[in-house]
Amino acid sequence: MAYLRGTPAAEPVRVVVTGMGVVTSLGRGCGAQAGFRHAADGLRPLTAFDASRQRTQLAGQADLQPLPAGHGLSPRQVARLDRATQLLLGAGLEAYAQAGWAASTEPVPLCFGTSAAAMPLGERYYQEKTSTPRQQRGLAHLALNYQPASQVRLLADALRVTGPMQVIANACASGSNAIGHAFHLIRSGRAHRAIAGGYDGLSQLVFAGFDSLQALSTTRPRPFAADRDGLALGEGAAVLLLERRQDALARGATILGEIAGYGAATDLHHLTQPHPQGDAALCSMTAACAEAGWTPSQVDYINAHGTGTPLNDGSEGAAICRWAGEAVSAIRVSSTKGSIGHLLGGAGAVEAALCLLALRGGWVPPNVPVPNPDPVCHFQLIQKPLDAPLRRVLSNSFGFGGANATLALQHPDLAHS
Amino acid sequence: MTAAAIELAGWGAVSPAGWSAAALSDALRAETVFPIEEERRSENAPAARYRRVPAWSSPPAWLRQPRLRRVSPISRYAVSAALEALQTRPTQPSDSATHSLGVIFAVQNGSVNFSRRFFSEVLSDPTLASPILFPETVFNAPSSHVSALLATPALNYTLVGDAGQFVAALDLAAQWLQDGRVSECLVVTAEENDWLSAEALPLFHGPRIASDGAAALWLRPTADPTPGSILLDAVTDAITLSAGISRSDACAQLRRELAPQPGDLLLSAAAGAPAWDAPHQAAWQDASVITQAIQPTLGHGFAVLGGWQCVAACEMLRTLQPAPQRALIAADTGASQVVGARFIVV
Repeated sequence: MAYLRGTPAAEPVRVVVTGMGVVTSLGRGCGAQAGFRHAADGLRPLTAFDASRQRTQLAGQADLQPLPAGHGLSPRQVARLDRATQLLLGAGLEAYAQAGWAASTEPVPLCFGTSAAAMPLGERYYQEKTSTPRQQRGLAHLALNYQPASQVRLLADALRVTGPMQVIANACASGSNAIGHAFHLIRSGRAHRAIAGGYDGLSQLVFAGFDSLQALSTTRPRPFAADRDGLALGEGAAVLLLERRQDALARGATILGEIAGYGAATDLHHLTQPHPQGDAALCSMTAACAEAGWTPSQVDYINAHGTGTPLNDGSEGAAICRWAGEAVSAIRVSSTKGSIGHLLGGAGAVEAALCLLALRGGWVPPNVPVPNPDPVCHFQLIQKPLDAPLRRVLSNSFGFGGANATLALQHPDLAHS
Repeated sequence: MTAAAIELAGWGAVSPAGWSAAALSDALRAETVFPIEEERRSENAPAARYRRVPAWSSPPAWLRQPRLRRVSPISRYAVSAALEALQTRPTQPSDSATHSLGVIFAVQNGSVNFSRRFFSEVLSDPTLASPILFPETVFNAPSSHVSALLATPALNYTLVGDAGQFVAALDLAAQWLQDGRVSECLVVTAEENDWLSAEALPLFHGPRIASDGAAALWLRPTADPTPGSILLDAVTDAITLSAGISRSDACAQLRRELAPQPGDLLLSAAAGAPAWDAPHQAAWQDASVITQAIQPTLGHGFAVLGGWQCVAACEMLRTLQPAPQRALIAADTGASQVVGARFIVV
């Protein structure tokens, strides 16, 4: 029974990451993400659909590669996969292989975030419905597999696992919310393990949507630059395998990092515009650190949401300054969206994975260089490759609808203490 | 964590029966037959069948809120159900400094009206596609509006699933309350009719009637429930239908977990389509329960279906004579999961 009245309380359980998979426009696999060490350029003219009539064609489009062998899907299922699901499966299979979980029939919660799911399938459904209204063949596949639950179910089948699914669609915070939710399931004693992450593929509707809002940069995305003019969209996925620290230690698993806290809050200011002073961002960072038991001076780095839009970066910068107080000048901050674009529902998960790579590797992923930073940057905006030991980091994700989320992640050595 | 009981303290609904939970319950009990509208969007298109929410007699005052000026029906339905669910809530909680109201929104199709319109504009000329429409197409737009109108900056999740997602969301609400992440929680669902989704229904379920509306439950912890109050007694594990788990097995497991007793009220998601309903019927055929189906009266509301089941259960636990003491919610006809809940009267 998931909920039963009178369930006894449980002591908080520490939660570690033992498997991780990532796909971005820099490549598939954690190894391919090394480009983040020097702000590699993963933006290019997109070819996934015709964007010739948009104001820009620049995007972080990933190269889709065949799935690695050993998955549990049929050739027919594989042949019908859309972009987003291919990205999700690529990340999921890498993470699962790395974790080395023993095969089990025990249900494992699957918690995923997305904002657009398999939108290209929905687009095709609409186009077929309007171009050939009498045509029925193939429509059931499009209507069914467009739905987010279908992509997560395909991942479960590919990994040969079963369990309850939770698909969180909190716009650009979805991936962080999903990881945070999985973290809480284990921390509260409701689950021993969980598979979590976020994903989104590029789609014509969403691309045109951001362009209609004039949120896309017509030059290059420059997060935290004073003259920033918008974001670039990207695509990708990251999957994390979470388990109880005690279980990971008992089986001698390689611990990739520990999730120490998670905070979320809702910005009531506007549907698409953050509060200028970042009230909800302040709340989510404060809540994540409260759960982790951290003070701002203990945080070595913040992977900012940092979209490169005029409104987001100013608001987030103000929130970081308010949160850090006197410690602000010592805090390193960067946004990685200048390299791969904004992955929407995949952003929070990919950036959390990137933080774990940086923690283990002892480096800070730099922002793209911005010669003239926004005056709000009282923190250290890291613009060059930097090797530095990191112990505690935050990952911010904020989205339409006022969805704000922050993950607190710490070095694997701290997970052993 | 707290082991306090969770009270279902208020509920609301919008449906083809009208703009209230009472209208929904009355229609179910009377087995009212609402008119079915059959429409073809073009000469060559298949006919889609709808049951629609009736127009309101006069626009409610909350519609004047700036956030709701440009929304499509899904957000209006969500707000209406949410406000009805909270109508007995004190306006200023006693410990307002630390008080928090979480919002969970369950949805399947989302803002399909604006999504279809916006994509049509994109295909026609993306340079003229409306920036007014696009933000409202995002899955969490309705729940964002609900939080904004209630002025609650606490946790807000939008969960995308199937007809059982509202019931599954009750488990998340219970988690938040037990863990102290929120002081009280509003679980909402809403959908809106559109030919795009209505024409998809027959691809899976045979000739079915699409409908729209909303449902909402207000949950709060209670250490000392008053007699007559309704408690969330249990939410079952959500069983994901997959290559290894059939709907028949999942329905049977759901029944075992809900543990029916003679005289229980069963809110059924059965569609009235024998082939689709067979696993549900097989699981419940020998149960001595009072069964109330939703779909034959209201149609298929996608994610709202589970919400209507829950709201109808609360209404009927209050009004049926003789009064049942327990209501079982079986959300077992959705596309991706089977899940249930049990409500009890103190």
